Amino acid sequence: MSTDQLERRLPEILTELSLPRVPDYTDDLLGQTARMTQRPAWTYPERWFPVSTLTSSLAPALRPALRPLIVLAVLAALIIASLAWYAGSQRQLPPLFGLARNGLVVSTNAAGDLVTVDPATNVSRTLFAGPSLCCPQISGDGGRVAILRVPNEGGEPTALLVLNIDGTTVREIPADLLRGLADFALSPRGDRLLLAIPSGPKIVDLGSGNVTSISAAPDITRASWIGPSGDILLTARVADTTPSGSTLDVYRLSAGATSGATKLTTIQYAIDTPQVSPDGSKFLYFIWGPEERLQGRIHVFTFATGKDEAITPEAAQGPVDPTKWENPVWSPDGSLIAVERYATEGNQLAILPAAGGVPVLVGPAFPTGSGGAAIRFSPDGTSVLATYRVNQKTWLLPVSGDEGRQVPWVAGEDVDWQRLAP
Amino acid sequence: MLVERARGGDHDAFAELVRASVARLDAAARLILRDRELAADAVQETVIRAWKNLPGLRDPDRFDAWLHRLLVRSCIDAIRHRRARPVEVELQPLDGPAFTDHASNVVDREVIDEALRRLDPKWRAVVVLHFFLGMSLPDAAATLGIPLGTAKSRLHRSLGLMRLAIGDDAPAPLAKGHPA
Repeated sequence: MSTDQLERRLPEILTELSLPRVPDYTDDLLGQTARMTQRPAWTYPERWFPVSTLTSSLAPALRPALRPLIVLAVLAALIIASLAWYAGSQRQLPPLFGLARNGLVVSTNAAGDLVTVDPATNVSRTLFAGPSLCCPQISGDGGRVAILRVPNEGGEPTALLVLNIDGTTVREIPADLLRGLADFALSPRGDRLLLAIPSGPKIVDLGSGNVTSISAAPDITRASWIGPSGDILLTARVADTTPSGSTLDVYRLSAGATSGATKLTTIQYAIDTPQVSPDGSKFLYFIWGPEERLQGRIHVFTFATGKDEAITPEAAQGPVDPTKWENPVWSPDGSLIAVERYATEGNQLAILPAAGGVPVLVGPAFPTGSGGAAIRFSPDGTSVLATYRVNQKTWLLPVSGDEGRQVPWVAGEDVDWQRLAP
Repeated sequence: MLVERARGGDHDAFAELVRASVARLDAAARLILRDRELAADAVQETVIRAWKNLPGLRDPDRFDAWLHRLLVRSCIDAIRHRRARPVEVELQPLDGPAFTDHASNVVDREVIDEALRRLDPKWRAVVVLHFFLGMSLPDAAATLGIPLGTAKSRLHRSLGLMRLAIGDDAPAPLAKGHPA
C-alpha cells in the first residue's frame, strides 16, 4: 500500500476498527449529569473577555515575543500556587475527630490497586498500583493512608505500607513484624501504627521506624487508638460463646505505657470486636446470645462512667422484639450509628441515635442471608456509603432518610473516606 | 441552538447533543486507548466535564472541537493513571465484521490494527484526531496541547511505522495487490 493509499484508506479503516455506535452506558451517564449542577457562567472569564479571539487575531510574528512573558507568568503562577499549597497544607488540617469536609473515597479495586474516587465527580484515580492491596485506613487528619499487601487471600500479609495521600511511600512495615497480625490501626495524626498481634501488640513510630512492644493479656484480637488521646483499647478473646460470638476482656492502656493495662469490662456474646467512637469517649459492639432477646443487639460502653447500655430493645421479660441489629458503624461525631436492621417487614440499613431512639431507615431493602452492606459514614456526617453484598452496588444514602443515589463505581468491602478541613 | 440551550442549563438539549456525539467519542477513545473500560471511563469523564463546564464555552460553533479536546484530555489522563499497569488489548468488533469487502480489505484492516496497537498512545491520538475525527493538523495540535511541528512529526512517524508494519507483515496477496 503506498503512502497515498494508506492515508486515503485510514479514515475508513479506523471506522471499521472502531465500529462507532451509541454505547450502552449513555443513559446512565446522562442520568448522572442530570443530577449535577453546572458551574455558573460568571465564573468563566472567557465568557466576558474575548480571550480566544484576541489570541487568535495576534499576528504570528508577535507570538514568539509573548513566549518569555507566558513562561514568566506560568512560573509566577506556579510559585504562587506552591506557596498557597504550602500555606494551606500547613494550616488547613481537619479536626482529628468530629465532622469534616468530604474528601476522596479510598478503596481497592479488583486488580488489587489502591484507588481513589472523588464522589462529587465520580472520577477515579490509581493512587498506588497493586496487586494484592487491601484494607486501606486513612488517618484522621486525612494526610496518610495505611494499606496491607496480602498476596494470598486469607494468608499472612507480606507488607503494611503507609503512604502519603499523594501516593508517595512514608514507610513499609516488613512481613516479619506482621506475623499473626489480627488488626492494625493508624493513629489519628498518621504518625504511628498500632499492630494487633495475639502474641503481643506493637506500636511502630512512622517517623523513626522504632518498634515498641506492649505486654498485655494473651490472644489480643484488636488494638485501637482511643480517639486522639494516645491511649489504647486492647481486646482479648477469652472464650467462644454459644451459639456464636466470644467472651472478650477489654483493657485500656495509657498513652506512652507499654504494660499495666487496666481491665474495663468483660463482654459476652460479642460478634465483632469493639469499635471506639472517633472522639474516644465510648465504644460499641453487637451481640448474638443464646436467647432471642440477646440476638442482634447493639451495646455502647461509656469510658467516663463505665456504663454498658443496650441501645436497641433487649427486654428482660415480656414480649421479645424480633428485630435484629448488626454490624454497627460510628458517625464521625459519634452522634449516630449506621447499622443493618433485620425485621419481619423487611431488611434495610438504619441510622440510630447513639444515645438510643427512633431509627431512620435508608436505602434499598436487601434479603436475609445476603450479608447486608459494607457501610462507611461520610466525613461531613450527612450520608453513608453502602455497598450491598447481594449485588455489589454502591449507594450514597442521606442519613435523613431522603432518597439516595447509586454511584457508578463500587466502593467495596474495605473503604475509607478522607477527611478535609471544613 | 442546542448548544446555547444546554449552556443555559437545559439538560434535555445537552442529552441530545451527547446522543449525537457519544458514538464517535466512544469509538475515538477506544482507538486511542485500546481498552473498552478505560475508553468508557474517558467518555464518561468527558461528558461530565462538558456538562459542568458548558457555561464557559464562549463560541457554540466550537462545541464539537471543544468536546474532542475534553475527550483527548480524559484519554491522556487515563493513560497517565494506568501507566503503572499498562493495558493493551485487541479491539474486537462488536457485531462481527462490519463490511463484506474482498479479502485484501480484511487483511489491510488487520495489519493496520496491529500497527496501530504498537504505537504510543499519544502518537495514536494524533492519528485518530486527524484521520478519524477529521481535524486539521493545527487543530489536532491545539487539541493535544502540543506544537504543530510535534504533531506533524508524530503523524509522520506513526504513518512510517504503519507502512513499515504493512511492508514487514503483510501477506503476499496484499504486497502484490498494493505495491508500496
